[in-house]
Amino acid sequence: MKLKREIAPEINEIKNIAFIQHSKFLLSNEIPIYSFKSGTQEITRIEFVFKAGNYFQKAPLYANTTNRLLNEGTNKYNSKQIADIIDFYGAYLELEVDNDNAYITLYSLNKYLDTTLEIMESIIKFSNFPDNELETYLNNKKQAYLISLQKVSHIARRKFAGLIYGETHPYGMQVSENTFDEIKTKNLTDFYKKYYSFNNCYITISGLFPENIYDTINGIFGKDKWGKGNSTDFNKQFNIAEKSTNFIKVDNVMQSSIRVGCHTINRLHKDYIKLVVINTVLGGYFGSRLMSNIREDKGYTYGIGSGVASFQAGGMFYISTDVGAKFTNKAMTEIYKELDLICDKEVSKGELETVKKYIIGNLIRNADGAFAMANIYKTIIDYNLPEDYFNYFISEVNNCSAKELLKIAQKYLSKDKMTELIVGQK
Amino acid sequence: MISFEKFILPNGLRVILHEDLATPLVAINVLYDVGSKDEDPNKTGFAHLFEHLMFGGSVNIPKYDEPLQNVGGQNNAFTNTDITNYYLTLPKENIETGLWLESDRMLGLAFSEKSLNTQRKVVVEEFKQSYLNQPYGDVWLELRKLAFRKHPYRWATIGKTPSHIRNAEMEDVKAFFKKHYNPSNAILSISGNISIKETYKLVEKWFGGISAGEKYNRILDEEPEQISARAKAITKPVPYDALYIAYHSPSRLDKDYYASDLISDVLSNGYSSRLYQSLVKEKKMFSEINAYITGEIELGVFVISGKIAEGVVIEKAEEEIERQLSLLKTKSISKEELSKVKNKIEANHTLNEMNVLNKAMSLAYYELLGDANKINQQVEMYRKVSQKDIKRVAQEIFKQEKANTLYYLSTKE
Repeated sequence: MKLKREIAPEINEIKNIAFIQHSKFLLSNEIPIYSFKSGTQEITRIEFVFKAGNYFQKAPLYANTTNRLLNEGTNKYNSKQIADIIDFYGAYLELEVDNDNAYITLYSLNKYLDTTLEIMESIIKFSNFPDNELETYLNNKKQAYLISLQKVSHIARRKFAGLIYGETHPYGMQVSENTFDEIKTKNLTDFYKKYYSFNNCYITISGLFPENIYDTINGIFGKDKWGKGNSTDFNKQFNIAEKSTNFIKVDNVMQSSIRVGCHTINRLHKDYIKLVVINTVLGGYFGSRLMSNIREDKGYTYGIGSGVASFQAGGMFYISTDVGAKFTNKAMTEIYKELDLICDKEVSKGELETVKKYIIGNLIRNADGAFAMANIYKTIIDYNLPEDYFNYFISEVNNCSAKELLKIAQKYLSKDKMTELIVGQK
Repeated sequence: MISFEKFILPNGLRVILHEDLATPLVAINVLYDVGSKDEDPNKTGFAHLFEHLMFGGSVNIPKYDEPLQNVGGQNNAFTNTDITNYYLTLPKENIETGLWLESDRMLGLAFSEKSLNTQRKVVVEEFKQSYLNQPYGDVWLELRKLAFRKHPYRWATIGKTPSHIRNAEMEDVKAFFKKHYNPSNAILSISGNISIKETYKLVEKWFGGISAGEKYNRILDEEPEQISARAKAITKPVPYDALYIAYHSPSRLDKDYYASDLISDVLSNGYSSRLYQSLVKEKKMFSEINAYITGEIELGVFVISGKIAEGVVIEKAEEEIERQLSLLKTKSISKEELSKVKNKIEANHTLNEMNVLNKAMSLAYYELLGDANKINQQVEMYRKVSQKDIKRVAQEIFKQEKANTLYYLSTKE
């Protein structure tokens, strides 16, 4: 029997997605702890999430530098001792900050958890920000910053946040060479005292963790009211910047970096999921319109994409690409053409079906395994969403019509709203 | 421990299947035993350009991505000096769509002029974005030229120059496909929520009928033994000087590969590593520093690279690196330090085994190295390395006359 290769195999519906379930407990001091147990390897991921992201900083880099200095010295261990112990036990300690939160994540083999958790305790509760460590850190960061100023895409990314949120908004604050000279130890200790405290965080644990982990963690982090801070919230109002058109000329570059976008809704808004769907059509996956047109048809770029980033104080819609310098204007024309098109005409049935399947497939990928599930579940915690939010997300995606999406596009993606930034040549 | 089953189809395709019922996904990985080392020195960058063309439609399927996205799948590929590797993940229900797509492009490509035209431009933009339009971006182009004289590792996978890519012709594309994209030159690995029996049947159905093609016989120019140190200085408008030192080192297949990998970890894996602690934190000679091996199949390269800290003279910084290397050659590493780097390897291996796509990729790669089961022996191979091995291998690699040093100087001064 000859194979009919020109006909695709039958598409099987994905009936139900079995998300890894979690348990929630409170430590004695009421820190919430969410656990996701699954896996085959004796390894545990423990993550602390503090409301200590960029949103809370008074000046640029306060949030980030405080977080990154946590493991550079405590009342018990110096920087080298911390590094030695973490490395000796094959553990990973990741420090990260985004616009809203600060994260401290430990990956540790179960058999070494007693020791690695003690280090985690020390850096979270007793960090002491030595002057000499801060100085070395800032010098090296300053060098990295000056190097990154030679990359058009870095300049564009930094500048664009300022254009969208305004440079006085903590999401949009601009770093300059001086920033690195101005940060003092006191700025960090103040930030640390205020935001790294028992009543301003939650914990996730995931993997095949040992049974007694709750007792262990409660013993270390649950007994006392550590940290002097108060529970904080995202309640400051900021003025959002006006739309603008910007060009930063850089000589002798082969490519220009382009950003087009605007301030937009975040995950709490009822239109958010639909906006995610229409954004995916536009630039959210490899087969998207922007990729098909500007890369796969015209060859102006190695890649182009668009996204909707949700933050507590408001979201951002953005299109981002690096294009050959001589294609800059042509690429801009095509970007606006695609924005017009998505606001003018309903998405075809086939295209919409593909995008829905893609989004749901992507959610399954992002939820695969205990670590991944713990990671995406933070969205539900951070935005205080119902526990079955991901199932709601799937049904919202599946139910949205081309007609509704057209309205959403007109409401949120009209080119009249867009701030434009070109870094390079045009 | 990863259990798997291995089959070889009559057309020579090697098939590795691994069942992991904890995930709702399936990962399909197709490794072709062809990399930039197989290119004509006057037509470099071709293996990678070809990888792009593999997404431009196959004999029976006009668009590769669309049907995959239709079933919630996602895919990508990479090319390096040794291999070209294609991979996708999709919900388990639709595994057959993945096999249909991969088998059709192994069977034959659409060879469209339009696709070739566009991808030439796209790859030239990739060349600019990743190598030419960023500070220090062209280091590997320079370093490979310096470290290799004859061997095809002397050019980077992206190619020697964008003009090689602009000049690629359809004839070259067709010949390349015929020569390298045969079942006998490929390894298919599948991991995830599958039944071995059912999956084998599907593999046979879609791949069994592809003709074996001619077996490619690899003959590469040999690299002559390096007898004297080489150095090159280039000056560019970057803000800081940078230093790159490359030594030939054991290949991925060499028994001393494991020791060389551990040496690179001793030097720069983690904040406790020697180069970071001594040259970044203590002496403040570098703002960042790294040591790593390429792990290539034919010949290895051991690289130490660092950005010089503001106000430090590059020669002084170089002396400090030499001092560190000489320490490895003359003083035995402590038991504790060796355990540390081995523990890190073990943890890393464990983390890697948690991901369905990583497992598929690793299984195919170890099969290429001779046996997929090597995946289960790696930790043991590292554990076997002794304190003496570290010293001996360091002595073999870090010979003064074998250094290839690139001074990447700033125009600022």
